[in-house]
Amino acid sequence: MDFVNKLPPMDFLRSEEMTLVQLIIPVESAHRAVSYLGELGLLQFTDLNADKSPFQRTFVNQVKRCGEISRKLRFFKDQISKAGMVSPIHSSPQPDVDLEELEIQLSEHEHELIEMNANSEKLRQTYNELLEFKMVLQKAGGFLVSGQHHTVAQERELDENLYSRDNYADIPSFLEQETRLGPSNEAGLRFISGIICKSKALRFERMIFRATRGNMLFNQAPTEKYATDPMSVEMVEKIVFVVFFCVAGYQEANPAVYTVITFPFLFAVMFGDWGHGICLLLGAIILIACESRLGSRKLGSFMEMAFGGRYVILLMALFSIYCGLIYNEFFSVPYHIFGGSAYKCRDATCRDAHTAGLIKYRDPYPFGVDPSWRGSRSELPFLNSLKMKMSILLGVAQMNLGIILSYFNARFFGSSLDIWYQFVPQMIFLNSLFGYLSLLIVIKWCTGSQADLYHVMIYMFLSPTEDLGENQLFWGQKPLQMLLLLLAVVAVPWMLFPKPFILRKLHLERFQGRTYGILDTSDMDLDVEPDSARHHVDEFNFSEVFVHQMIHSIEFVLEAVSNTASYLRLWALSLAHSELSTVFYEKVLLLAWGFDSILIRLVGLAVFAFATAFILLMMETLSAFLHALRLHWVEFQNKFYHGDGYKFRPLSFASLPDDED
Amino acid sequence: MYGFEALTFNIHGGYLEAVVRGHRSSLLTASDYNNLCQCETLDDIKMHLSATEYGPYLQNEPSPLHTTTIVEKCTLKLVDEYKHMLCQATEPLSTFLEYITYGHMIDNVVLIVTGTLHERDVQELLEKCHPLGMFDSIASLAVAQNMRELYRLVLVDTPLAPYFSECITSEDLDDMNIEIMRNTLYKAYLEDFYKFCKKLGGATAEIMTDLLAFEADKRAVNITINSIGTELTRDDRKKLYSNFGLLYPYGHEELAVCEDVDQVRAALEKYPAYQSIFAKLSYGESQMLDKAFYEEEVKRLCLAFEQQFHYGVFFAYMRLREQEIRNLMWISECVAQNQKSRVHDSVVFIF
Repeated sequence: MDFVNKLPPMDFLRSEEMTLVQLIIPVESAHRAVSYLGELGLLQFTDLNADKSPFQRTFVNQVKRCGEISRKLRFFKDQISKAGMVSPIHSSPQPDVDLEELEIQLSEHEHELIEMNANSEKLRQTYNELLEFKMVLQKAGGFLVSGQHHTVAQERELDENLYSRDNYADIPSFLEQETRLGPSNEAGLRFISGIICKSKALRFERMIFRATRGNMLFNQAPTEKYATDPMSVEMVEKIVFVVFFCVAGYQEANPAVYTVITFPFLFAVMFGDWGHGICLLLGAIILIACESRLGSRKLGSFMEMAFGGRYVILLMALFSIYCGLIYNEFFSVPYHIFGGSAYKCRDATCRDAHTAGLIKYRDPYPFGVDPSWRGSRSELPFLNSLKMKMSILLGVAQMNLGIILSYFNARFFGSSLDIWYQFVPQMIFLNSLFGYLSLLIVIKWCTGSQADLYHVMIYMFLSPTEDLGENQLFWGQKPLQMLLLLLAVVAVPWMLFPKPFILRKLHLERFQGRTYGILDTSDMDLDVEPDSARHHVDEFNFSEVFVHQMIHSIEFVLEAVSNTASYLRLWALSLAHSELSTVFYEKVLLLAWGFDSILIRLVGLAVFAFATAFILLMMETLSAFLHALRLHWVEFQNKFYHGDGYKFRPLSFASLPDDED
Repeated sequence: MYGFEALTFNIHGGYLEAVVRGHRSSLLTASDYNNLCQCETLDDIKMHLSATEYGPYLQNEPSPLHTTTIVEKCTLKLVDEYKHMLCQATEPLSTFLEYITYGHMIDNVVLIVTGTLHERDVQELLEKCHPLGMFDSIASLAVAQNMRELYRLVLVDTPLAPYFSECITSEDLDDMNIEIMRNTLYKAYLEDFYKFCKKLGGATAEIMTDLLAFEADKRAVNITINSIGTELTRDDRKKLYSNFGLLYPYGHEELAVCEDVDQVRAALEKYPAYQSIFAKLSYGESQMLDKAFYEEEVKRLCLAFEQQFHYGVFFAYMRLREQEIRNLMWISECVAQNQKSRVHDSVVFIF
């Protein structure tokens, strides 16, 4: 314990220490204080009146006034942008903005601006009218001059000119004229002239046709100059992205510290091929070398993710090269990099290579899997056994790390209850079963025993007192197994029962004296402590706590088995990867190379390249990435991580413009 | 096949159904209405609404608000949502969505014709029209002197054309005829919509025929009550009832001969579905009838959302939003006229 106490605190392991403060500010200086704090940008405010409606809050009138001011500012901004100007940005913020003065100034400006707008609108309208009059006179005059020969007009009436502004109002006054003049007795042609939007001309013609029952002649001519249409209002759509991510609880251990290394490593265990690893390394180096160039550009969502994770990809590539060297696979081809193989054929012809097998004549291959294994008859049973055992070892190690982190959390938060009644039984349970299995694996590797570990574990549970026979790996195994089984069985009620009862006892002890205090004063605030006390003032619901603890322990017990088995995906994916690359190599490249024609060889090479790039480099990378991530988030983090925190968002005027975007 | 919509509905309608359900979850709740009813001034209402989905529409309105502004902006939001859905829709959903607006078109036509009759300015009338029911050349309605001209000049190009066959007369337009015209048009529209929904089949047919039947019955009762004491003959009244619904045909015969509200009540109490509506009113009272009908309608519209993969949700959403706008208008008017005690007379809570 002393050793643990003397360890220096890790900087990145826990979040920054925060302080909860309560500010009591007199009302007159509230605004100045808060704006000063906003400029500092270091304080996040919590809403203590979250359940109150907007009217019941104290400063509702001031908020309304601010809303009015911001509306006016938006109006000005709109007008400025419509006029095509750019508003200058003040680099230094005003020290003290007097809101009352600002309010008065702004309302004066707004009033002026609205008046000016109205005047300019009127002027523009008049101008348009006159322009349209002129155009009608020009064009209609042209028609009439040409049509004078054809008409027997006795009367000519130049009716009102119309101007079409909006979509609907052009016809009525015009048609009224027409119908009112209908019953006139003059036999002769009357004409009406006007100006109308081009898009409505067809409809207008149809309407006139119907109104006059077909007795009409319609002539139209386009105008050269366009009268300005009324300004159209644009609606800018803002798309808001909501990005969901998990934030660590306050000051709990941050798993990212460990994940940075274990994640690329587990990825590599599943990816294990140093040829593919080199390709991945090249990609990562390119991303890192161009990071200044790519960082400023806007990339697509996929490239953005890849770019953001360039250092992780670098680590993944390095670890893949390492694991590839261990599995001895270069695009599925083994090489004799570290010296010669330890096995040789029984005779010179290697006739018995696939039946009786090879014999070992030297010290084992120094690093990684011996290259002679590839292509032999017992390659798969050997490699499967190796990888499965390795997966279990890695899994048990990572889960133990998770539980130890929960110990450090409990120690940091001072919860000795959690240490003694959660950490200790959890460690005992996990290690007496799966830690023991890991030990058996290591012993079997070291001694070369023929014992079947499945049977060892199963009979440990089913018939612990029986003789072990061929399943004996070391002396004293039977009593050790019985002891471990007993410890595991004891650990389960140890994590299930004591904690709820002790919590209840603590609760009763704590609030025993308090309950009398309530009778004296109803207004006195008992909760002068921080939030945690507030929750316990209500009744301690024992059944709820007990059920919660029961769920928690049953979950742990069941998950011990399932999570350990889940780590076998490390084996499964590495098997899939190696089989895929073997298939592409042997059945595509070697097959194509066997032919003499250079075309077939090129085609084979191309297919091999594409298959490697898309299936092995992209799909397998994503797949191994996903499974490694899942192993971390589920199997590793559910031992200790709660992730129920929220991000620190201080009130800061400097960051407000960024927030708005 | 009814029952297997889940296989194919989402191909074309999935996005829009998701959109409309999202909109539905932003309808104001009872707690919102309670807060709104506590407002003292229209500015308070604006402040409260700025926390809801209406915020962006109201935030740029200058401070002395009017009730008409509030209603206009809220309607504008509905229109924007409708237009977005309409432009994303394919057949037959796009036709269905257009059908929803024909009722507003009919109302707008009647509004303009009535207004012209009373010598109002066309521009003013156009501003009062409901934006969902606008069509091009609507302003030319002001010119027509009788129904035949109305049809020939303007309405023949609109989707309302087929509804006119029953009511073209050469009589001049006056108040009575206009009301009869409105109801005849609406009857034809409802029947057309009903046939269309039946043709669509499946869950849409089932749910929409229910909702439309309720609508038809509601209108029948309203026509009956409004025409008590007028010169509308029994036969004419019967001609205005739609040819479907719970009350067809026997209820219609009873309603046609009713002369006062109690007889109407007696006629309707034979139908258990409508019994609950009249149970809320005491004898002789008819002011609260509107609210009772609206409450029943809202209940049925909310039930339409319980099933998936049909078009009834669009219709239900539009109607619920219109009810919400009616609520907001009533609350704003009560607040503006200082009659807060009467606020709960006409507000129908949706959730």
